[in-house]
Amino acid sequence: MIRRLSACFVQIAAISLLAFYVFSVAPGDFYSADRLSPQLQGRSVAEWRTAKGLDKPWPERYVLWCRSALHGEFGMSLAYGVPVMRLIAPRIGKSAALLIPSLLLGWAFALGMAVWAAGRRDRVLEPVMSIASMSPEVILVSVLLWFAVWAGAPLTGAWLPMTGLICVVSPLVFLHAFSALTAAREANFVRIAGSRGVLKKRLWTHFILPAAANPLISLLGPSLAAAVGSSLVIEAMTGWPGLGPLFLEAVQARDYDVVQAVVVILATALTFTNLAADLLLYRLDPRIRLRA
Amino acid sequence: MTARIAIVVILLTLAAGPWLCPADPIAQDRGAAGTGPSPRHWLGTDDYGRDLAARFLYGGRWSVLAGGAGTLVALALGWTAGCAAGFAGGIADTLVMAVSEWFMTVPWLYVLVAARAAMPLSLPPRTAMLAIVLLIAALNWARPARLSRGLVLSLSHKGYVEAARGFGVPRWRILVDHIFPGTTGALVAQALSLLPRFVLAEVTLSFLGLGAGEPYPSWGGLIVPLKQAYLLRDHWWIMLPVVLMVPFFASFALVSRQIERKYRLSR
Repeated sequence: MIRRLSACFVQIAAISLLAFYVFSVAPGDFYSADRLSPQLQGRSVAEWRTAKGLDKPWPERYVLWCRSALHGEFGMSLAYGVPVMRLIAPRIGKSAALLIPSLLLGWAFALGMAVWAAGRRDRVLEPVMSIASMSPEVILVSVLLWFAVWAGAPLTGAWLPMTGLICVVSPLVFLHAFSALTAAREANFVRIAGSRGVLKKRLWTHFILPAAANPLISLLGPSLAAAVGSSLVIEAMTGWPGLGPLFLEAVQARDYDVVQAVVVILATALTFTNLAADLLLYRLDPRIRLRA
Repeated sequence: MTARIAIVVILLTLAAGPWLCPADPIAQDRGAAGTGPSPRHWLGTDDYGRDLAARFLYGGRWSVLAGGAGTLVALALGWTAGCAAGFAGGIADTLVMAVSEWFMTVPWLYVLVAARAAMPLSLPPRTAMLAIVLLIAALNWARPARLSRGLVLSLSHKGYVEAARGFGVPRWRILVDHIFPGTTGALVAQALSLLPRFVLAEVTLSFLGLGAGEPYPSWGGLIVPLKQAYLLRDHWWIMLPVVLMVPFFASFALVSRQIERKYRLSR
């Protein structure tokens, strides 16, 4: 257990170090464009860089950055001149307002469909969902947009990005849930229970679902990762003011403190989701508890 | 079967693009800017009067080529790491497994964009392509690595491998002659499921303006005008290239699913 926790922190530290290192060796910084400007002398650009501490060697800056990151401050956005956290916090709220409901809805929808399809040994839904799971979010959202324009629906609001995210999450969950449920349904102990006259409802709630829970719980982390990844594109396409557009803007402006902060925060969130999933598994699955 | 034929047809169409559609994807036909499908421009033109059919075909070549090269590199990396981990065992195995687990949990689109951001913004198209391929491969070696490791582990307990070991065949020969051939089927299945993913990654990066870049055509660039969705009411034909991309991804999805199933059954 302690090993698992420490692995988490090592992972986060490694990611932040890597993010920091990559951007410190990256060619150019926020002031690169200014250096080319004929109205500015190289000296003033150099002075700005000194004032912002950009000329210090990267290990020193990393230590400083870590110290402030522990207090919840991830540096200054050079483009906006405000602390990164003040820029990011409202955007995280917006993204979370999109991600959490769509994850919940997507999971609920997919699980419902999977139970239904596994119950009647459906053969049509699985290939359809596996095509859907491979179809790129750019195309999904384009089709949605097209449909919205055609139907005269409003192009603003949360429904478009949310539908897009649900379309990304639910095929993934469905495929895993379907294969786990089908396997559990065919398992010997379920057959025996069925032949001994256990009621169908009880068979599902007490035999099949618990047996299929294990792979589904470990899917929590990957499904969040998939949703977060897709939300970057989906937010950019539908103009949702979440983390994605801010991130892209920061990339274009070489506002590296913002980019680093977003990467580290997301990595931390995902690491802890995985940790939570593992702890949940540990609690629910006696096999894992005994092995550990 | 239909899906396999579809893949071959699509790839051939993309390969034969320059002969199928002689229009120049970069040349601007100012007189016909922003017009719908016509005998001269099958899929219509964009705002600059560039032929959308030509841009679709040339862009597809670019995107698929980038995705295919990325697949090769990722498979080579992952397969080497996985085979080494599975065969050597011990610390190497633990290390590869731990690191690959990290790579699997990272939101790789964000990392891809961030890593692309660390490079000069406007690169010449060929350099951009190389950079994208290497990035994609570097970020996606984990899945094939875990897969091939599992395969190597299960193969090395097969009877014929144990027999070879018993006859005193050297370790490297066991690896080359007895274990590698068993992993090829899985490699093909992986390649087929990775390729569309990597094409998509290239498309996404180009869509975000970090890929090939204007004026060069790529599938991602063709999706950019859809950001202004309200244009679709009057310029509906800018949707056509996107609709034409659907069969590509769908047929790859079907074939990789089929192969994975067949492979699972035969194991």
